Amino acid sequence: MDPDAVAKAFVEHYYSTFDANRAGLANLYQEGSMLTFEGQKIQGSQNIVAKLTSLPFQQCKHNITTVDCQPSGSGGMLVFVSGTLQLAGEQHALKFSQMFHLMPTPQGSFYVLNDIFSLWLSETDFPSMNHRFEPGQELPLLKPSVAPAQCPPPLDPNPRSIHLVNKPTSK
Amino acid sequence: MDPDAVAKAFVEHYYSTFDANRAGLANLYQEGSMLTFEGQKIQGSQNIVAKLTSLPFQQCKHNITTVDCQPSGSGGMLVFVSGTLQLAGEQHALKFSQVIFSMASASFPFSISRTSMFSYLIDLWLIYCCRC
Repeated sequence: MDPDAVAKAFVEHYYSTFDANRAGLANLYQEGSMLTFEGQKIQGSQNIVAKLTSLPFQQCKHNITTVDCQPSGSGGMLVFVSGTLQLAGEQHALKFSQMFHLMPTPQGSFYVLNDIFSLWLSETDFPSMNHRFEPGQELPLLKPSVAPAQCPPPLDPNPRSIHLVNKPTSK
Repeated sequence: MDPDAVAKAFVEHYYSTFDANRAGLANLYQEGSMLTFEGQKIQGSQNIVAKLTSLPFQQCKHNITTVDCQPSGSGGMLVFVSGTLQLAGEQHALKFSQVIFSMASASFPFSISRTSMFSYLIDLWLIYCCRC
């Protein structure tokens, strides 16, 4: 089966389960699974699900922007996801990136061996590497620090080039 | 050696090399290495370095905000980096995330720390994704 299709299907299953019923993620992890959630390290399916179900929000919706995948050897697959996380009652969606390392199960599906989740917060608000937050935790400055009109244009969806403003560079 | 310290040292080495001399990244990749750069898939050290050295900017500076790592598989290490990329002459820095999966291998000795003489041998698989 096409690896990209497998990755996409996994991602859809993972986030729809997360959004509908976080406890249902339990069978996607095993004893040796590891989650790093905003810097906090957690091991084992039970502890991981306990962490995810205890996050301080009831309802959420993940909107996925990009999914990239690569084989990792011995049938494993690396999946890199970026998107937004909308919490019920919050005005602004949070941007996030998440990385999964999937390993095959004897039954022909995949489980999550490694999971690293990271929120995108403005680096000018939180310049220190030690600032890590949980979705739902009250943030002092939950607003974009750059007005949308000033935001640099998104990168070219055609991956063959990065669009930069063409300026002569003086050396 | 503490895996977090290894990851941090590796990240510092990788981005300082990238910023100073992209061609110097060649010995961090092997034939089986894969790079996915903004959706484009590239394989092999030569092709990867060709891609990175051909990016349309002369000077750049990576500023790293977060580094997370986890062990994975037999001697492998996953490193998840986020930060900003400042291009010379551009007003706004680009935000990026990068996942690096490095594997110990027998053929490329690579010293990541001048003080510890530790050799961590690397195969790199990158997923490098720039997002506003």
